[in-house]
Amino acid sequence: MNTFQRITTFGLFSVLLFGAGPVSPNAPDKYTPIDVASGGTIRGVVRFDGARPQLEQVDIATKEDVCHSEPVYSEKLVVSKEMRVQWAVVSLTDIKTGKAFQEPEDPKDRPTLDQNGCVFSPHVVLVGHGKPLKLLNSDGVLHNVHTWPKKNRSKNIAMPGPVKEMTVKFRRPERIRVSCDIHRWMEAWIVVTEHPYYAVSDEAGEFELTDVPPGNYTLRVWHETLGQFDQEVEVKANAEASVEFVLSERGQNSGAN
Amino acid sequence: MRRTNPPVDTERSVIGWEYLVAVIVGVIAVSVFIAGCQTKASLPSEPTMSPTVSPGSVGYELFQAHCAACHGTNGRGDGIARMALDVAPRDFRNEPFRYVSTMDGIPTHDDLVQSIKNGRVHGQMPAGPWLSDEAVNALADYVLELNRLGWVDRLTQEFADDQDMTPRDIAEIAFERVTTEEPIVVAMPSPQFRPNLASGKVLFMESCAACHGPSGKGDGLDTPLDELGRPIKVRDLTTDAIQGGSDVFELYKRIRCGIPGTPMPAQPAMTNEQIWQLIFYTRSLMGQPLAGLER
Repeated sequence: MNTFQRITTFGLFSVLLFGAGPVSPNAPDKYTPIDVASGGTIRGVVRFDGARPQLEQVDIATKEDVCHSEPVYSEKLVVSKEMRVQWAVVSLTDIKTGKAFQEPEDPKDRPTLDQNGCVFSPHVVLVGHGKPLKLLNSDGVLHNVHTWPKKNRSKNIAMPGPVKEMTVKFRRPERIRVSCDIHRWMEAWIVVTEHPYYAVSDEAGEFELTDVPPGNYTLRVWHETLGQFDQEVEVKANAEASVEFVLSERGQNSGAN
Repeated sequence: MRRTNPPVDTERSVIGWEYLVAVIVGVIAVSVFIAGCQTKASLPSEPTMSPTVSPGSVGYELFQAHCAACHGTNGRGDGIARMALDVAPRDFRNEPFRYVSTMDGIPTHDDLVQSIKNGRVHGQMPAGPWLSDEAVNALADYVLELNRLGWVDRLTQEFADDQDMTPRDIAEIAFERVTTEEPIVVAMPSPQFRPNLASGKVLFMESCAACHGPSGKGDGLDTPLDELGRPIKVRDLTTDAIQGGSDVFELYKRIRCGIPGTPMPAQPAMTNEQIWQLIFYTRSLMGQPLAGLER
C-alpha cells in the first residue's frame, strides 16, 4: 500500500466511521409529543371520480377448506355504492408537535393484523414506530407474514396453524407491503407512523383526526392504487375542519376544503 | 460490521509522516462533515467508493481473482462464466444473502466465511480451501460491503423525490441492513428430548408441507418465486442435496432463520425441541436418519 492510499484510506475511514455513528430514526426535530389543550378535529371523506370499479373476486389456488369459507375479493380498490374509497391512508405530513401515541391499556386492543379466511384483515393497519403490532392466525393453517420494507429490516415469519399470536415491531416509519407466499393473493399494508395523526378511510370513505393543535397543515392522502395527493388544511381551536379528497384512476385529486 | 485492517508494513517506522498527513486529512474530513451537519447542507455522508471495495484493496484484488468470473467484476452476478451455469450467481448488490444464522436475515461475518470456505456442495459455487483465513475474512467483508453499496444505490433511487430522506438517513439505513442485531445460538436439545418420527411428522405437516409437500418432495407450491420475482425450486427434502448443508446445525439454522430472499420464512415461534424433531424428521426423509430416532 503506498503513501497516497494510506492517506485516503484513513481519511475516508474517518468519514465512514462518523457517518455510521449512533442511529437516530426519531430525531427530536421530527416529532415531539406535547399536551394538546384545545385541539381541533379534521373530519373528511375520500370520494371516487369515475365509473365505479367492481370488486374482483380472487381465484383461490389452494385446497385448504378454511380458504374457501367465503368468496375472497381483492381490496386493492374498494369503492362503495356512494362512490366512497375505503383503505385510503390520511395523515398530516408537516406536524412537528402534537398528542402522544396512546398505548391501549389492554394489550388486546393493540393494532392487529389477522389472517382470517386466508385474507389479511384489516387490509391496511396503522402502528406507531417501535410500537407492538399483533399478528393473529385465526385460520389454523400455515401462513407466512412476508414484509417488503424499504427502511426497516425485512421480516418473513412463519405462523403455523397452532401459533395463534405473535408480536412484531418496526422502528422506522414507512408503508410496508405484506404478502403470504403460500396464499399469494393475500396482501396487506402495515403503515408505520411517526406520529398519531394518521387515519384509514372506512367503508363509508370517512376518516377523522382528533386533538390536532390549531394551525395550518398539509394533509396527505395515499391509496395503493389511486396514488398520493396533498391539500392544505387550517385547524382552529376546538373546531372541526371539513376536508374532501376526490381520487380517480386517472391519478387526479380535485379535492377542496 | 467487521472490517479487515490493511496489512501493516512492519519493516518501516509505524508513525511515519504519512500517518501525520492522514490524521490531518481525517480531522479535516470530520470537520467538514460536522460543518455540513450544522448548516443542514445535504452533504453526502457516504463516499461512493469505500476503502474496502476500492481497486487496490485486499478485498478487491481477491474478489477479482477468485469470485468475479461468476459474480461479476462489480459483484452484480453477471460474470463471464454465468452463461455456463444452471443457476444465477448471487448478485451481491441487489439480493439478500441466503444462508444466515440470524433472525433479521442479515448474515454474520462467520456466515459469509462459511459460504466462501465451503462453497455450495450441491450448487455450483466451489469451496475455497486454498484461501487463507485472512483472505476469506477480507472477501467476507468485501461482499458485505458490496451489499451495503447496493442498498445505498437502491435507497437513493427509491427516495430521490423524498425531501425528508437525507443522504445520511440513507447511509444509516444501508448500514442497518447489512448489520445484524439478532444472531441465533444453535442450542442442543435437552437431555429429556426423545426424537420421534410421529411427532416430527405432525410438525412437518403443520409448518413445512404447504411448500415442501406432504411427502417432502418440494411439490407444495405451484410457482414459487424469489424476492426478485424469478421462479425458484422448493427443495426436494427426499434427497440430501440441501444447498445450505444437511448437517444438523445447518438444518437448524435454515429452519429457525428461514432463507432470506425466498418464500422460506423464519420460525421464531418454534421451540428448540420442535426444531430438533424436524431435523430428525427431515434427515429421515433424506434417507440419512440420525441415531436414536424412534419410529
